[in-house]
Amino acid sequence: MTAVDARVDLGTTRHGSGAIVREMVARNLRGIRRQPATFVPTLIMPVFFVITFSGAYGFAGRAFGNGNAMSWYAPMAIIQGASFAGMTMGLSTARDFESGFFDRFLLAPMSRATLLGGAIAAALVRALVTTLVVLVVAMIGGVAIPGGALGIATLVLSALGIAVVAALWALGLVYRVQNTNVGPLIQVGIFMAIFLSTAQVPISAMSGWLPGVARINPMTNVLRLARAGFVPDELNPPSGFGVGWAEMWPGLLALGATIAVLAVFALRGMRRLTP
Amino acid sequence: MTATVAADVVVNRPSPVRQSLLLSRRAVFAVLRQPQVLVPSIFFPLFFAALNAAAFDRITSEQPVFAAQFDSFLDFLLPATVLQGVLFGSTQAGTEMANDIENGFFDRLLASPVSRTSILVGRLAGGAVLGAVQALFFTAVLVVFGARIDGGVGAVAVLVVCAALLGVGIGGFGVMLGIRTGSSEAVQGAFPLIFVLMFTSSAFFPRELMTGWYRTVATYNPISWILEALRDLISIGWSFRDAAVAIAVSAAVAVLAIALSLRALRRRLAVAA
Repeated sequence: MTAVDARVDLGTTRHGSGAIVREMVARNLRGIRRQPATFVPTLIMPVFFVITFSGAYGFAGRAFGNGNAMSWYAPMAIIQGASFAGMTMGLSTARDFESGFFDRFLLAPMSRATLLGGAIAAALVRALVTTLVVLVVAMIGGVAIPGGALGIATLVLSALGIAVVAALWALGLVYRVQNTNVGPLIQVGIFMAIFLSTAQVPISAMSGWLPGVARINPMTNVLRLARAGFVPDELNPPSGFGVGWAEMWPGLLALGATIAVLAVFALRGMRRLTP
Repeated sequence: MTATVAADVVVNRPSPVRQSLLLSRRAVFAVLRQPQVLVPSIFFPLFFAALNAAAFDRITSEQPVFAAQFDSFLDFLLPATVLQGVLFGSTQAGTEMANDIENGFFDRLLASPVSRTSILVGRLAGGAVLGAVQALFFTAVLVVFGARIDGGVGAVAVLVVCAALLGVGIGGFGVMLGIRTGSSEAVQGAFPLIFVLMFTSSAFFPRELMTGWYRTVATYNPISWILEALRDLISIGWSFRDAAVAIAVSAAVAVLAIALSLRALRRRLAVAA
């Protein structure tokens, strides 16, 4: 009997990484159907933020660059929704640890990187759904998108990037703590990163300690990228409105660097799981 | 012999008030033993108070309607910060009730000679104590950072009473959900709905500056009535009318929540019987 035959007899045929990632995404989506309570709030909250913030601060439209408060708040809510998607994947993995299901993943003949990739792919799918829903709501609400299709593309790109960032942060913590008690810590990190930036108001409208923090927070550059097609750039005002490289590269760099650092954080956490 | 034992059991059975006190003590200690549960209810309200004061102070102070009443956005935020802390903390009452059902402790309580009402009162009284402590803590912190309370000690007392009542009220809705579903995840999943109630009020945004349907919703939201009465007490000065409005609306929320959670408890007991 050859080695190949033995593998077939034992039923241990290894699937490709792509197929495993697809299965992990499908399992996650089935989880949404079985427990909508774990997904619906993360969809409703960003929609709700767009409506409330735009409604409440409509009077200060000029402070946001183009007189339309929704153009300022819709990208922020989408980024927030994408971060929820990443965060939820962390919590879902924590529940797998508590139920013992994650041990079965570790026993399965697949690479650890594929396991991480599957979770991130699921976060991306969730983030894409949230992004599209919030965008449609914002369009119904009258959001102005002078940047057109390119503006929407940069917004979607930033949202997906933040979903990866949030998932890597959440998974890195979950691999270390291995239970759902880590939830508040995940939330605190993500909320601080988002809100200590230009999420709520432009730097020119801030006062006190906040402008100094917002200037050095990489999230400010990600939000510049997300808003490139929606409001004129505050830090590097273009001569005419458009989505230019000058507004895009700081955000792309911020995303790339954060993803690289957090990928190392998550992979090191995963390495601790196996002797 | 049997009769003697039974008599002893009856003699040693604590009064319903003592039962409630013991159960409320258990509720408070359950929260104190889990620092990770306390983090959101302490950290987030303070974080958002500091953040929103720095973010919105300039925009709102440029509006004459706002500047006429408030010295700073921090003064405006004080009642909302307390309420936010109470909301975060009170959800825990529902989660803990659901946990008791999930892990079987609720059934053990039912099997013991504990008054059924004490189970509920104990849980909600714990929420009231935590709400009052949170109100005092947040007020102290914000005053240190420059918030002014023109209504003096009276205004702080009303703030504490309202926080305790809302601790019972919001906790009561959580407990009702916990009893009905028996699932801590379902209770936590409903938590954003409480946030919806808060964001559609004048908690973080001055109602005078709102427009359209958003202003209409905020006007009819009872949370706005409580917060605006408290804000007048804080920024204008003591007024019996404002104190009465704040306490009466908070008490109404608490009574409604208690009634709903009692109903849920009776239904569960009827099904169990």
